[in-house]
Amino acid sequence: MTKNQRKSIAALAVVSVIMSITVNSNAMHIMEGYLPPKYSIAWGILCIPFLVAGFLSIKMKLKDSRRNITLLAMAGAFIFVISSLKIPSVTGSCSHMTGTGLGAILFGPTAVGILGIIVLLFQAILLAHGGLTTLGANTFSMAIAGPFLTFGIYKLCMKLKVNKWVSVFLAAFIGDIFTYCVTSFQLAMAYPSPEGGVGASVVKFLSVFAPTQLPLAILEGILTLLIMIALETYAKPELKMLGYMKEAK
Amino acid sequence: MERDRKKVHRHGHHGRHRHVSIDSYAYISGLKEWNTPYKVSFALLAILAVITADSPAVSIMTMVFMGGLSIGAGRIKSGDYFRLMLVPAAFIITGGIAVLIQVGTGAESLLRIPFFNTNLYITKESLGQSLGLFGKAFGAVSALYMLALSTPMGEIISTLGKVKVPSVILELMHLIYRYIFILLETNAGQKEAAQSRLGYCDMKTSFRTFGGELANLLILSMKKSGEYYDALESRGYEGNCLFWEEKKKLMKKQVFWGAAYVGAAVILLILF
Amino acid sequence: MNRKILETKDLSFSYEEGRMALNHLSVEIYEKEKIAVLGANGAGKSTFFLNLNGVREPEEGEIFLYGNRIDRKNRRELIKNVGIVFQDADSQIIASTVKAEVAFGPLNMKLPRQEVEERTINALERLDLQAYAERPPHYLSGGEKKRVSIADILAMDSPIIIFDEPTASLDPVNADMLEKILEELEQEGKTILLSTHDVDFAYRFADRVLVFCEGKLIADRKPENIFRDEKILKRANLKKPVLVEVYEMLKQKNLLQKKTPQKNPLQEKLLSKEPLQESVRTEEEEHYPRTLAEIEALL
Repeated sequence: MTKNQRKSIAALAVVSVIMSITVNSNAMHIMEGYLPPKYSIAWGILCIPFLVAGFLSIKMKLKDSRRNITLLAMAGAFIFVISSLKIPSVTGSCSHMTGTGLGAILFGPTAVGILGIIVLLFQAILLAHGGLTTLGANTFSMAIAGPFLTFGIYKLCMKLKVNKWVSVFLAAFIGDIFTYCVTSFQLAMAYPSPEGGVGASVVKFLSVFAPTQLPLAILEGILTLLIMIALETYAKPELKMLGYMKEAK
Repeated sequence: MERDRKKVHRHGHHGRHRHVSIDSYAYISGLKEWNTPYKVSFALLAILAVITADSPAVSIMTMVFMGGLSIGAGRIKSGDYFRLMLVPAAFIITGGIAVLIQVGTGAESLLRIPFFNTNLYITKESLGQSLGLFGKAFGAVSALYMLALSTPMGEIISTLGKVKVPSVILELMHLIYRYIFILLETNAGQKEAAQSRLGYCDMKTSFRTFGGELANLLILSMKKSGEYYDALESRGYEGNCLFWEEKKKLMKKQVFWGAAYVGAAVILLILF
Repeated sequence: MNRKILETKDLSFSYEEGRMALNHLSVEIYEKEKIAVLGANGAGKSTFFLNLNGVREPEEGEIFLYGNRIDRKNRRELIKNVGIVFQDADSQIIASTVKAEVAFGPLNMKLPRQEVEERTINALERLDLQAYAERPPHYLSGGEKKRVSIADILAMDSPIIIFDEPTASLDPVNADMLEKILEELEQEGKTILLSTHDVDFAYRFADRVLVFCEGKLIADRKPENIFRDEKILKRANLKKPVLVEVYEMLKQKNLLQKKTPQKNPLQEKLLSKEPLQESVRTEEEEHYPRTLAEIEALL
């Protein structure tokens, strides 16, 4: 290792620590103004099939019983609330969960798409996390890509008879990591490097956000797990009620 | 009004709803009486102008114009406004660094540091691009704030209805908005109760408490949702939420501000 | 005699199989009555109210509104004619401003815009909420929310108004305001049903008391007849109102000068009305004082 390399690593470590202590780490909402119009539109269009599927699944649930409307709204509000509550922390930094992974496990990924876009719009307007023109891109990464992968991994682990708690942790953790990767990719597409193009740029975005996003993904996994354990211990009937929501896709 | 604003201030920092202080400004803003569809279009137009023009001049002008509108006409306290502008700063700076710093051979760079087997460097272009991005992000955010700080959520939802968003979605939005505050208030109570029983004494306990709180909140909300539906139905709800919409007139002054913005943007684009 | 406004015959309802929340309930309600519904938590009061309002459909039995039998098709008539103020104001409030909240009911009744606005503003004025019209409900205090939830129902102008435990968690100022509103509603000729655990309040307010116990109606009489019946009180776990206790104690210790109590105007009004039910008619015994002033007059 050369002297320079050692210096670089030390510098990186210092930056990482500072970032993870001081910066408010939310899930990676792309801010308003960050994406050029064509990317805003393209990501928005990409969301449409998923949103239509989500819309139809919600319609179906309401056709089953109109009473599901308040249940669905509560689910949406719950996702917003867990993503806006400060996670307990020793460093004094302010981090928040995404919540959509837990949402996908509890309510199913199709419904979470619709609830997710509503929650993201509210986050943009009420909390200034994300934005209006970046709503499509954020919906794709946070309300579609992440939740679908989380749900897929969870189901797969169940099928492979992996321990239930390990499955929950893995699903939420990997779903979060995936969201972070998709967001980095979205940013890299819009801002490719002159040398190495989009590929090199993805690496850059992944690395600058890593100090905040990697610990956050682990936290997301742990908290999702803790919430699921608590639910299993004292809310079996409610989980059944939600299980119904999942099945009626 | 002055008392109102103080109250909001309190809510904003120490109240139970500190997470959503933007919301509390929306109900007391001086721009509240603006015609809502017009205001939404104005904000969107400004955001689009910033991101399509990709011109620092337009970005800076938007920032100044929208900031002036929010603080001057909207009567948002300037201290609060700048504090709010810092919310997106973390993302904008981190993202800006990624655009600013390039990796590779780094010919013609302003600054170059060896990094493992390659170099980190900054070029004139990357510096320009990241500064431009800074401007665009803050410009667009200021336009978003002009809307968010002056428009109650109910009105934004009604405006979505005007562009034919399905009524089920609008209904869900209305209910979700209302339930968010109920859940936040419930959670504030839970947190106090947990703290009084030393639920946040150390890291491990804190996490356990936090998880338990949220699980409880979910159960509670699922249980309550049935009662909430009963209450809806008892007041004649038949599967289609009708909400009162205040009719807000489009006044000359509002049109003037819009025209002034467009004029300024056009002039800047011609000049620069 | 006042017109019969609402009637249930053999009404039964259960949320889960094998546990009846309401067990063959038959009640007749007349116009302008002020009825207190007492009973422990889970005795069936709220379920009874939801059935009366048409939100729940009875499993067995029938409901009549102005003598017309209610079935699935005209269930909306119940919703229009019977308003409920829910116990938890938060579960009732759904709109994002106070004005929109109060207008929700009238809008659902498909009234013209102008009338919706008139009714809304009127209801806000009556509860002294004009200053809050443009505010969101989530920045209101508990008492203010309660007032909004009452304004909600006043704006619907239904002839029958149900209050589900209105006194729970109200501070004294808001509790006074509630009693004032109840008085006004009485003068307007509304029929009022309310459930409460506050027996003193029930004794003061009601001219008829229904006692629920495990889904059954175990008593339906005038307040003074209910509150001296130890058996019923014990069965429904009810306390005696302080006034009744004081009166009985004074009587026991022979401290009362006059043997026959005076009839207060309220009581006369009650008697001028045809007695409501068999059980009421047979118990025309001793009159119990309803106010402190009445007791004082006996000393």
